[in-house]
Amino acid sequence: MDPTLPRRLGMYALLLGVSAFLLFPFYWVLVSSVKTLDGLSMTPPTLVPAEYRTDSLVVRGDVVEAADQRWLRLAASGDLLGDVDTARGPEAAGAYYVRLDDGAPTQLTRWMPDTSVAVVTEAAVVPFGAARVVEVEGEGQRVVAARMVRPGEAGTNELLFSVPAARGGAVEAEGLDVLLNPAYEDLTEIAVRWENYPETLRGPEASFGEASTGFLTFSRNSLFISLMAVLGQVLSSSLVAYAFARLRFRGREVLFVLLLATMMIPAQVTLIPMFSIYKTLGWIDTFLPLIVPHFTAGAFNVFLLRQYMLTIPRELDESAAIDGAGPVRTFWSVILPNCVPVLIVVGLFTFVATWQDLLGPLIYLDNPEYRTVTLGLEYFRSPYVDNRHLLMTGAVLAMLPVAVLFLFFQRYIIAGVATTGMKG
Amino acid sequence: MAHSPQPGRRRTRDRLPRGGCKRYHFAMRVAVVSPLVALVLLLGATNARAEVVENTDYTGEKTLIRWAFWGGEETVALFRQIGEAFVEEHPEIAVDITIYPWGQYWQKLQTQTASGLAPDVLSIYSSQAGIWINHGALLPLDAYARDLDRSAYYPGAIQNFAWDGTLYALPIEMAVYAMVYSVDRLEERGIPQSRWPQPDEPMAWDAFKGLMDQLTLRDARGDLTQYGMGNSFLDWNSVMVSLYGGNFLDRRINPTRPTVRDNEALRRGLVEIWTTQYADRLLVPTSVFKTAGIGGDNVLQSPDVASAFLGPWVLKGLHAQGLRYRTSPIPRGPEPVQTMTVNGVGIYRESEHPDEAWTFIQFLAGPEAQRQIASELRGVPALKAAASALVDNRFGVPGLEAYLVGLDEAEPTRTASNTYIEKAVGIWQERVDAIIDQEHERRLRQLQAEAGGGPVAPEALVAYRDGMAQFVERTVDEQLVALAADLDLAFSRAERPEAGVVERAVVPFAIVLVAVLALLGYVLYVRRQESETVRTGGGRDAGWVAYLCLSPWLIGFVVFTVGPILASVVLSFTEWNMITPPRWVGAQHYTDLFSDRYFGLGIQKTFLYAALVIPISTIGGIATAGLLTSNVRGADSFKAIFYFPSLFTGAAAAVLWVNMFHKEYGVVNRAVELFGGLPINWLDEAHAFYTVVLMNVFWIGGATIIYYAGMKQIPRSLYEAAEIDGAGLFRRFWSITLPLLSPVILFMVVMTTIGAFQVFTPALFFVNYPAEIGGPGDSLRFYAVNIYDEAFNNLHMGKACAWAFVLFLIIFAVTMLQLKVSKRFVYTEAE
Repeated sequence: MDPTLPRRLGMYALLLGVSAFLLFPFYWVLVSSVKTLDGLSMTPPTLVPAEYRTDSLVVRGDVVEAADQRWLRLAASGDLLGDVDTARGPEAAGAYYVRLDDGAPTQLTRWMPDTSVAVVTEAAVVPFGAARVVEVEGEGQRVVAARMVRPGEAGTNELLFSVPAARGGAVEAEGLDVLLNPAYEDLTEIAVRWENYPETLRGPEASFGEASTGFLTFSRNSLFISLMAVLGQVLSSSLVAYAFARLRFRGREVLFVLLLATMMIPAQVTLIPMFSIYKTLGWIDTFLPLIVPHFTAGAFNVFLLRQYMLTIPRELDESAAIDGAGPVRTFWSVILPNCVPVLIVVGLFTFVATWQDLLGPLIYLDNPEYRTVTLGLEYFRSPYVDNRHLLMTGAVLAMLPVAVLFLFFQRYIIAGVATTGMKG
Repeated sequence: MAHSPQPGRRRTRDRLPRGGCKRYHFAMRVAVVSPLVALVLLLGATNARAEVVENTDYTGEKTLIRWAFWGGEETVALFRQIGEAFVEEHPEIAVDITIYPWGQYWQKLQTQTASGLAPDVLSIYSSQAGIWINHGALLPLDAYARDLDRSAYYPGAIQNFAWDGTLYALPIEMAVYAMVYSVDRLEERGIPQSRWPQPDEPMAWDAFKGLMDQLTLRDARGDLTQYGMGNSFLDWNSVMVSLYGGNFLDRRINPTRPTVRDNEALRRGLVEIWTTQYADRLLVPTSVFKTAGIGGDNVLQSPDVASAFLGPWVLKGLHAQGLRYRTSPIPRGPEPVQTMTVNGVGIYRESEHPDEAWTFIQFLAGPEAQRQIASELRGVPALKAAASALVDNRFGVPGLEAYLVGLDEAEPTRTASNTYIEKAVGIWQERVDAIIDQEHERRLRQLQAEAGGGPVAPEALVAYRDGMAQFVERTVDEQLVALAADLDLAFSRAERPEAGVVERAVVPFAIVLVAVLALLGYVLYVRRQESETVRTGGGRDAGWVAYLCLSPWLIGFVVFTVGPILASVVLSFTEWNMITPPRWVGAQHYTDLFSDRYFGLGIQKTFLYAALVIPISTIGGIATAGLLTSNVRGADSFKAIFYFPSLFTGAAAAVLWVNMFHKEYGVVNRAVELFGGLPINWLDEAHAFYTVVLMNVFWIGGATIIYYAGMKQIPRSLYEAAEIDGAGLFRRFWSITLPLLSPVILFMVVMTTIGAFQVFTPALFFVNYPAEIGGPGDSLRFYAVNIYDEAFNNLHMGKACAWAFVLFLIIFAVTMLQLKVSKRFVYTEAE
């Protein structure tokens, strides 16, 4: 046996553990994106999209009328709590009822004294379409017809009207077991709500019956802006980086420090002056303010590219020079092809950053047709409507293109950043 | 992917592809150019859809006015209808209605206002009204409103926009709250109908408490199993304090001083509320109710909740779901004052069409539009005559009359000339609430622990109640002193003395002089260094070709960087609200820095954040990279996995993080519980800062990749030699990996520092909209957050610029320090 095997196994276990931990948010957003609104707020949260498990149950019993409403008698009281009803005193005789709404049982269960009810139908058949299934400690799984909480001597008493899940089907009202203060847990079952996706894709207005700018339009806008930004950064940053890496000129060091210093300026304060400039140029409500600056090279990208270019052997330039190539030709034919891995990194980082940008589109765009994914998602938020499930789905839709792109290009990243910061 | 370059996997994995490979060259050109050409063509076909509402039957000349409002898309449909009705009546006017996302509205409006693009008709709501009126954004309406019958509107609604007697906006809708009771819960408790809350009459406070007592259920351990009232956002607090006649400030509109000291009515109101909530336990504890995301309106659907404090817009949903409910006005204390928030529309002061704008806002506040707004159940109409449309709304939702009770006496909520005043009160309430909430939970748990998990004796619960009531009283008394100080500070920020000559001229001159000298000195220093490097190596002097290559950046630098930065430096010497022209105040913003609490707080939070995040990123990155380089298969896949969460950092992911860290249904607390811990409210004032720090654990992937690349560069032969010499794992790491990796570590530390000092986005995760940024409480007041808050929430652009300049200097200094110190530790090859 390989003596290093235990150590290697431990290493893999560790790696898998870390991976599971780091992948969890992604798993969570995927799962949440197909949960219902209720499923999102379930306590404790479920690791799979779930709803409470239900079963069908048919109960046959007497239907009574009280307070202008129909009720199904579940069980007589007397022997259950002994106390019967704290509000009316122990002498009152009564029973437990569940309220019916158009013949279907509701969540409302209550005790009523016999004197206040009048029997309407004897042995009526009441279907419980979606009775909750619970796991009762020591009793196994049970289908719950009704439950109620009543004040008792010390705190509250809870009553659970149920049948064992195995029995299921149809049952006489007298046949329901009444458990007093049971220790139980609601069971859940997988319930996937795929409709979240088409609903989100139709766009924020769709849920109000309006013609909507759909998510696909948002995606197309984001894609266009992001790809143009990538093109701009790749072309301009590499050219600028080339100048800093290979060409000698007056003021090179000063300009390079200036370039790096631009990374340290907080974006919040240049926002207003920038807006004024774009307004002067007539670029408001166009994609130009979101694209053109990318053609003027980003400091981080220039830095990354320059560091990389420094590692390309100079002999290549020199042989090109011997062949009669000028600096621009050398850049295009020698340096650029050698920089593909790092260009991909630059492109990827630019794409991710542009795709996720909210402030830029918010400030510069007005036309609903021009909304980007991040901006469109903001319209799902509203003080008047709870749209958390659609926001989750939107978050997945917003992340997915970036994630896919990353998976395609991830193997270039190492090669791309390999020499960053190492030399120069 | 047909066009993308497909280099051999083996080559790209560990080594850099080298050499003038023609295939790359061609593939890259195709890969980059072809999809883009396709896209440009695709996009050219898109037609813009303008959102202008106009009467197409009318062919004469039209005046276009622009109106901006906030909201989700449910707002669009309603206002388009209203707009259509308007142009029907006024065909000579066309209206461009733009709806901005709820929460992003102000930010958008400020950039537009600052550059003269503001819409003619501005929408404002109560708490922001003061700031905008105070800064002169709105046209006084008195000249127009001479014939307006002000008595046709609810007095509080008009009052909200009347500053010192001048009217600045017309009210269009009001947010009023009422109690909504679940009929099922009332019936369940056997409460006779005769004692049910009435829609047309508020309950007396004591009767309300009695009812709550019946609707609140506890189990034997003393835990609540049914909440009498299921929500408790802090609006409730302010409403109830008003019911006891207490006020934090001398007046609601444009307050001039706090009235917190020796204010018995205020004190009594606060004590009563918190006693009811945490000693009697008749209202749900805030920590249970509070969600950091949106929502919370569906609280009444829960079978554990008997009543809730809701706006009229929620009833629509309740009714549609078939929930039986009963409404009743907010219960009344001995000195009832009901409050409401008001949305209004005003005219931008620079509007070119004020007359048309007036016609339009009058229409919005007129009977037809008001009835439509009411019938849609958005809010309560400001026009009294339209109130009946609320009751007879188009959804047939019952119970709306409860919202109209006592509206004639209702007062607007607090509206001050800066956000500090309102925030001081809000943050204080939240903080005291959290203190009391925590104490109540602690005491209850202790009680249950003493009972050994069994039933808690009734006497013990009575003792708890009395002890807690005393604690509430003590806490309120203590904290009111702190609030008085906070409010004094907030008011002192509002009124600033005129700057002296020294501040106005001498100090700015000195600052600029020092900056210029520093720059000059630096240039000279670099030039000397440069001439050395030129002698020792480097290529030939490229002359103009170099500048040609640089031109993209140079142009961008001059147009998009130097310009804005110079503008911002100049602005830092002014007071500028982005509405009226800047006013020169000299170095006042700089000299004020050290007396500003938020400056110190921002520095403290930011340095602490950087101090925590840099080790997380460095240690986490090196550890994971180390794992990956230790000869494992599938390192590529692991790298991808490790980087993956870094894709979830944008604002779109906020909903994910909030969901994960939620106290009740968050999966993080589930994990905490599995390890035997008590649930933590990750999103509250006490924890939010550390939650943000914790999120960084998920974002170490970028560091992993760069450290991994660095480690791969270290020659294997070094390790092999060390192994022969008998060096252990730790020794090899310490003597080979760490020194050889040190340049990469330096690079990463510098980059992480720059990022950490500008941290901003995560603060948005924790608030509903950017006007609240920095919260909960003051927990996320990072330096960059303060800059944003000053600029866009308080309209102090000049101050924000000054702060930003200082932040730049701090980052620059810290970076230089890091570079300097690192010279002793960082390994360099050539020397």
